[in-house]
Amino acid sequence: MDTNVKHIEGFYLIPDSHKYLLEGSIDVILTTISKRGYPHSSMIWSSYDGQNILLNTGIGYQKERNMRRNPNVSVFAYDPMEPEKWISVTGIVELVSEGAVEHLNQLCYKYTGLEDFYRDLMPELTGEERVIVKITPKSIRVDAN
Amino acid sequence: MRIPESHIDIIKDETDAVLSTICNSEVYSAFCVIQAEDEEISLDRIDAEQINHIMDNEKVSIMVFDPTDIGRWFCIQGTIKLNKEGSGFRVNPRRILKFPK
Repeated sequence: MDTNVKHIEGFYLIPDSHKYLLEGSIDVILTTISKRGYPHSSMIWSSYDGQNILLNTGIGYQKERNMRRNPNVSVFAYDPMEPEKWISVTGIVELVSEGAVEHLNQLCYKYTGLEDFYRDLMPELTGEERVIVKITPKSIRVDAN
Repeated sequence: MRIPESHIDIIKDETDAVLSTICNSEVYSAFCVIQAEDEEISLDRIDAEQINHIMDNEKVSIMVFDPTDIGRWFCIQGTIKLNKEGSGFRVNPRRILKFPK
């Protein structure tokens, strides 16, 4: 794996060459910091609004509790068809309730082709409260390819 | 704690993994290489910046995917230490999540 990465400190926009890793239907790795101070990683759907990485989670999940306590996170994504293509973002989180279910349904459609997350995919989770995980990048690293 | 039998085959040979480390309360993630040898799990080709993080804080998470099936993965949360030979890092898992469960 090539570790000769480009540093884009102070440049907060995702490079055009790597946007597809966050805008497409590739699962990304979100890492938060647990109460005991360990990194906590999980797979999650993502989107990108041109400035912020947007994820979505339920209130009460461990990652949500971790982010309320410490808003520092990382997002890592790579292309499964071309693993040498990757992006690693360190950022700060804002949790947003407004529009969270609509955003979840947009993600659901993008990743699965199903229109309604609760009706079509996970009816057992109906009634949970959701938040948009809005991540403002603080530093970005990408592969050198 | 041991890697579940259902997933140990993924790291019988060297495979890519994503290592997350903490520095100054911020999280950093990058590729590394993981392999299981007998009872020991070792990491290699760790990003130079992350080696500095580990020297200050040995708490890490490691996400490992089956390269032939990205829907099959496990995540180790634990600590890592330089091995006795000084040629790589040894993983001490404290918690393991896997998918499928």
